[in-house]
Amino acid sequence: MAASFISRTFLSYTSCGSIRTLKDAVAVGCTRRNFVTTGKYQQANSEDDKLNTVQNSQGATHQDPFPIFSKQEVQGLLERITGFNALKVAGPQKKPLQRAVYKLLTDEQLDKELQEAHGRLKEKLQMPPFMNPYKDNTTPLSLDPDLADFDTAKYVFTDISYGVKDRHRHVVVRELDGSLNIAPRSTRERMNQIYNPREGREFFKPRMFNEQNLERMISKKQYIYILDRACCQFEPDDPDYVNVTRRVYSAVNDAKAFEDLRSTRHFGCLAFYLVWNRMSDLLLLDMLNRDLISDAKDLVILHCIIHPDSQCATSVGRLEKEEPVAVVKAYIETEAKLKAQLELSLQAMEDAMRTKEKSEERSSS
Amino acid sequence: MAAPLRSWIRAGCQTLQGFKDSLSMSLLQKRNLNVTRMLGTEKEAEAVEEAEAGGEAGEAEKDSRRKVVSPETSMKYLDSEAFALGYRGKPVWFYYRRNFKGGKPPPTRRTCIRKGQLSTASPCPICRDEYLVLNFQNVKLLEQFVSPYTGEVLDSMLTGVCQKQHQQLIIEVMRAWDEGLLEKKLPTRVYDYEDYKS
Repeated sequence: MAASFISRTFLSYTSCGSIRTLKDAVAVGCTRRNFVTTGKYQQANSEDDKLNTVQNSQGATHQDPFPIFSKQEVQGLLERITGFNALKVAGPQKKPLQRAVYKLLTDEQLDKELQEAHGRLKEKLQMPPFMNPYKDNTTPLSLDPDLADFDTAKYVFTDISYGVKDRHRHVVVRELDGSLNIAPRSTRERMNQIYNPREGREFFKPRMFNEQNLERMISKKQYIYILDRACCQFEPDDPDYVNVTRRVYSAVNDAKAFEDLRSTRHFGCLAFYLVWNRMSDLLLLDMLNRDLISDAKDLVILHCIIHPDSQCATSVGRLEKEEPVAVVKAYIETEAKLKAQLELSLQAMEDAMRTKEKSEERSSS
Repeated sequence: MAAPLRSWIRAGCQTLQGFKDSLSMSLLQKRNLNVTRMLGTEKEAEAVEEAEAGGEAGEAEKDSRRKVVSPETSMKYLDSEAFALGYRGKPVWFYYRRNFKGGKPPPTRRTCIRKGQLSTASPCPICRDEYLVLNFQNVKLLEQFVSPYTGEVLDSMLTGVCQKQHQQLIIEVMRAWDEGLLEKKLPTRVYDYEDYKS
């Protein structure tokens, strides 16, 4: 019995024909199985769909969030909420030492350079996908009891053809009992790192993601670094990634440290997580305190998209004009848990706006 | 003329013999070969060797000219007044000046410490201070050797540390990156949403 798992990998060197040969090898003398592991997205229309729901780290049952997250409308909302503080996005970074480059430009050339720089900075704000943790497909591709105990270790076969994306790479394992299975995700991640190493991704999970170290770093408010490293190390549907990110989001929520994450790529996911789990009151309060009324409106609209059956969605739907203050009021009256505080800050914000308008009228007249 | 020469040669042979004797004695002290040959069983031999090793370590500590300092003590030292007074708020390598001939500096020496004591007159910034212990928990010391602009470990040509300490520094910095005590420079991960839609 092989107590410790040792894998010997077979490298398929042919570039075009490798997938075909692998499939043929699998098909000989056995039934073909479907390689598709993840289920299709289903609309939450009936009670039956709730059986397909997946449990997230908070304990609430929901359907797959990624199709909603990747909608154009939702992405636009989240981008607007994130904001774009150019000084923060293009701020001090660790990079190789370079000499400064001086250019003499016309106005048009300068505008073009600024636009290109803006585009480059926007790429930095791309949000990592918000997904539920994966579930391994354990159905075997073929059962060959005649091959049982062929060796003391399992064999892992990896398709290393050029041009195949890591997520779609075929990795199969010949178990000791002779069965051929699709490799579990952990094995596939290891094989990807061996044959296609990526900068910033370690072969072994860094000790930084252990309980003690995570707690220490969260208490020191190193939120952005933890999230950045999690993005580099894990896939978005890895259970470790999901645990770490959800933990950091709830810590940010408890500490009300939303300003730390604003204008970073993680703010959109944070907002989506809070709205998905109906915990967005503190974020809304923060927006109202900073006079970000359009952001507050966007947050409420997001809530209506994610929870279309909620009271808030129906009351916002009934409004004739989607004015920011009216939309936020609808949310506070129906869904909010921190009703008093939200009403107070909304009132304060309205007063501030009114005084500002009056002073502007006086100065103009 | 012949007599002083003969006596000189005899004296030289005596010292050579004396040197050989002392060498063999020290070898015997380190590993008591006579004892292991006399003892029949392996267990007894191991017990004797352990006793010898314990005794030797104790003797080494008493005799060593270089104090062995724990990482925790080193961390306290970096917060102390003595440290601030000695290094004036600069990195520990800042005021160190290497001695070499010519304009272009050669690579730093292999090591400053041989057989448990300093073997050079101008030891490197880490070897010269016994209370500077390179350890992944000793973040304040490690940060002084990491560039704040590039996030990389500074070259030994700049800091002046010996090669052995430089290798140890790299290992401890990597351990600190692993534990999350030091922030590593990370690439920006770009996602293609189409990969995740299947």
